[in-house]
Amino acid sequence: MNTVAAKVQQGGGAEGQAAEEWRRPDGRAADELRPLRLEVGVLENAEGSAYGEQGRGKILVAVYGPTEVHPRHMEHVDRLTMLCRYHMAPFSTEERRRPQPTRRDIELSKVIREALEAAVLTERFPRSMLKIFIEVLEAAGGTRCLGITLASLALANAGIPMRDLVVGCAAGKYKGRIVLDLSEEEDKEGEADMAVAIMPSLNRIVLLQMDGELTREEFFQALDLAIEGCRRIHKMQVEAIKRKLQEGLALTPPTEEKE
Amino acid sequence: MSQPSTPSERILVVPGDQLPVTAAKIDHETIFRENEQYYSTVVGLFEQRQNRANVVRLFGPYTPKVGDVVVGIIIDEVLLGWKVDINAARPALLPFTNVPSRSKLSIGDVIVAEVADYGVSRGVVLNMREKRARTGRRKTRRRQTKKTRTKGRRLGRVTRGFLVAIQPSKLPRLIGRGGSMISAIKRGLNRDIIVGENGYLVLRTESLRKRQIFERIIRIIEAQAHTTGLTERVIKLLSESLSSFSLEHSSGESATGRGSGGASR
Repeated sequence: MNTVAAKVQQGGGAEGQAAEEWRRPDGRAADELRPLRLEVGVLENAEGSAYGEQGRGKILVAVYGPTEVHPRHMEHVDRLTMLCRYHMAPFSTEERRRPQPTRRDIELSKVIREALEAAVLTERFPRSMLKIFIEVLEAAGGTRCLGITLASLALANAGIPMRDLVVGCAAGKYKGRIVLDLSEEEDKEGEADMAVAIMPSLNRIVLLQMDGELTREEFFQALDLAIEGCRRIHKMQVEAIKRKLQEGLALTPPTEEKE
Repeated sequence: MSQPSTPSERILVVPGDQLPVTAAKIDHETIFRENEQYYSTVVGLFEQRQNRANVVRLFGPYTPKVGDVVVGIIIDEVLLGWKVDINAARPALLPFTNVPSRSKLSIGDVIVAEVADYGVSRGVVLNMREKRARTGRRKTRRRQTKKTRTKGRRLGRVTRGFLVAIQPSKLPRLIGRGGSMISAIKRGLNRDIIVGENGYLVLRTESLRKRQIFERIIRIIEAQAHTTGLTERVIKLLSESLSSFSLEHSSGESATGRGSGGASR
């Protein structure tokens, strides 16, 4: 269904003739993102939250804090302690996944935390703790990038001061071509997958991971493409925040209907 | 007094947005500087008036400041005092020594207190005595100025009224420039309102209808905080809802007599 939708979108757009010749399994051009939807402030109980869909993938992020540091040994006297939990729900994959955090979950939690720590003004909150929960509801490739994108939205929603928003986007190599925002299928069959997260205004890379093989030229080509993808997603992030703020406007004063 | 009423236009900013700062004084809570450039650290409205630049937050909880007068709900009794919910990230402590001996408090009471001390490791310490708080810290001049601004607001236990919460980031909008909005609401409802700087408000009335009108106005202010002409709309709404005297279309959940503790987030 997604494929069809993507193809239709393609047909409608006035795309170049060169892009017409080669299509990816889901009908996208090499430098095209999957359809992306971002939403801010979706949970009442969390201080900040965000929800997003990228292609088939769905992720929910909640932020709590700053609060007292609970396992006391984790406390930093000069800065905020950030706790990040990336977790894939048991129902997020094709086959039921054991709910315990895996090695992969733990690693991703760490790299995501570090990427976000670069943006958060941690020195403003000594002896405090911030908890970020990234729950993958449905996995379809590129979840760590979407997780970062959403986590920074949730942090902004919680009012945590940050140097910049953080945006993640992947690029890689599939059937000999450098492509943007790999889907799960492309990730599995492709030659390389590279996750990148940046602070778009400050122009800084905060996450760079790669799996597979790329030549030096391909590497830089993929990196540039991923950064370009990040910049496009950043625009959507800002829009999502603005949309949340506009939400209130839709509520017309109740008296107008009452009269 | 005349000049500050016309600030430069307010710009909606998100973290990382570059700000065209020309003012000498900047609010370091919301603006950060790097390589001679200024960036916003929060989602809010950037404004610059005379020589001060700051971002009015649109997201986030209440951040305590020493000298703030807050409304709190007592949630627990601990070794040295009362634990008080003040709508901040962490509950505050009201030491028994800072409670005047005449007031008897218990869990569930609503109080008006002053932030006597705030430290990142200590948390918030409240004071309910009119005179001197026992914090071991000298009173600053800042607090003195604050005192005069909040004159007439007595610290102590709230004995009657309804507690309504507003998002702390929207509080400046509720007060309005120079208190124009809040005084219009007070006048409209003909009732006193205690405005805690933490976003908890107490409407001193027993009338459910007035409470409902008040709550509706709060929700509208929250929703439309970033728009212009809000004060005029609220005043209009206030006079309209007060003149149409019919209890029937009191939409939504009608308030039960839960007293002042029945606050919604």
